[in-house]
Amino acid sequence: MAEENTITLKSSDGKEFLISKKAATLSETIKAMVEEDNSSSVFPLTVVDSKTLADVITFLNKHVDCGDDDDKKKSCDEEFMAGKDDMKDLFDLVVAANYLDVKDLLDLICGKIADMMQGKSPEWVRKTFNIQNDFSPEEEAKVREEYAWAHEGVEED
Amino acid sequence: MTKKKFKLQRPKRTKKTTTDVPSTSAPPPPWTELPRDVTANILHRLGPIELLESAQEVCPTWKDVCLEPAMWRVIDMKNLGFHDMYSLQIMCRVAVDRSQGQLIEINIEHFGTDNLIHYISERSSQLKCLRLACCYDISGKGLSEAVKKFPQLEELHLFLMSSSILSEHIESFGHSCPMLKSFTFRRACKYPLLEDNEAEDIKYAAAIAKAMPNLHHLGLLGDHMTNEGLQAILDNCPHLESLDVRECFNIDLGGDLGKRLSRQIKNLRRPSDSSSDYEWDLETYDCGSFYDDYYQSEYSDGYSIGDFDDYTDPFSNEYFPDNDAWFFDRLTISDITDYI
Repeated sequence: MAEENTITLKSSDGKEFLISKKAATLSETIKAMVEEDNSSSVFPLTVVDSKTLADVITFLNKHVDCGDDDDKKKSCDEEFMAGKDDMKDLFDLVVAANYLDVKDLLDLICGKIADMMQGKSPEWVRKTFNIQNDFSPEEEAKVREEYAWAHEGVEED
Repeated sequence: MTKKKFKLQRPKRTKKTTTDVPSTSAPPPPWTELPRDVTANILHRLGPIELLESAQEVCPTWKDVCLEPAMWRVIDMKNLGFHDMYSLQIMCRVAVDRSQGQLIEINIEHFGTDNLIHYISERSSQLKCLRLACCYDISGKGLSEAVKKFPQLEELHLFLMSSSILSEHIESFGHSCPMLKSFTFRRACKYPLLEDNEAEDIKYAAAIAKAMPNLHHLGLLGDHMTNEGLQAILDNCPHLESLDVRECFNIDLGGDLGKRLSRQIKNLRRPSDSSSDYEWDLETYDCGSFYDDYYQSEYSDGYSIGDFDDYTDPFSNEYFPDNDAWFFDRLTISDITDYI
């Protein structure tokens, strides 16, 4: 194993994943790690769990295979995102994509999350994203009053 | 060199015991704890209308992100029919305010007016790209006054605009924006305001040749320019490499001009090339009836430049259709004038 062209990524829960260097270094963070420590072949990623890391690795491998073909990338991305509706999975992926600095993945997940919010009311967004309404009643009244004109065409649910 | 990265503090996992609650009731993900730039990445995709109507009301953290000028450097606002023109104009003004002078690119479709473009021009000296479509209330005079305040403009795209945009205005756009690299112009239609529009069309090409020497791309669609006009453009715009002259049936690309174009232009759309990929239907709008329908429709706000300059009664009810009464119920005149 441990060919020159592969490295091992270790998730926060101790699972190891073998991946080509070419795919792994699509992540700027891993690229920097590899450049800094040429002698190692195992790189621990302490903030990415195995489920999320497996997903990220699937993405990286797909993108390496696509090369510079944007159309191919697009259909790969659609395939990758199919069925990814669980809020916790999306959250973990967006955090991992940001930590690992994989721009294409970060943009893909951010786009998906934004699509979910499109045309939805603040109440719907709070409920779906489990966000507490931390505005004080006074603040909320002020925001509502300030932007009272901007409430047409928003779906309630 | 290792990049400095945000590390999310997650709650430490405790070892499961038999008395633990099942994993299905795991705490929901803390969305508001996302790094600020990730939240901004998500929210900026929603566009200005959605940000103002919804995202900023979700929680104080998001409201904060929505106040960052960086979120408003690109403003893309289409009238999709969910809002009346006034709401859109006010939202657009708020969006421009939020950019705090950092606006780089703006697209306005179906609701621009002279007053709005004037407002933007007073606050956006760094603007590089201006795209206006179906904004019949923007006059040639109003637009050329505004464009004077955009000295860094590199792209100007005008689709289906008012016939009051004359060759003299095109010339003035060129003089005001020496860095202009890309210009698209598709005038609205042959409605009666301008009887001799064929003669005016011929002058457009001359104005472009005279005042826009740094063009790399030119789209002049459905125009009456002749071979002479196009020749003048080629003579005076040496950097031109992309040319779209679809539906300009007065030019004949058979002879020397055609050969010259093949040599000089890398990306050429010929008069007879298909317009099916053109965002705006060239045929549909090419008639006076559209203009008439437009002004009889609820989308018409029927005011012109100067209406807002006089605050004595700028929002007299005569400007509003009945179904806009809600607007006054919720908004005081002082709220409005803050943005006018």
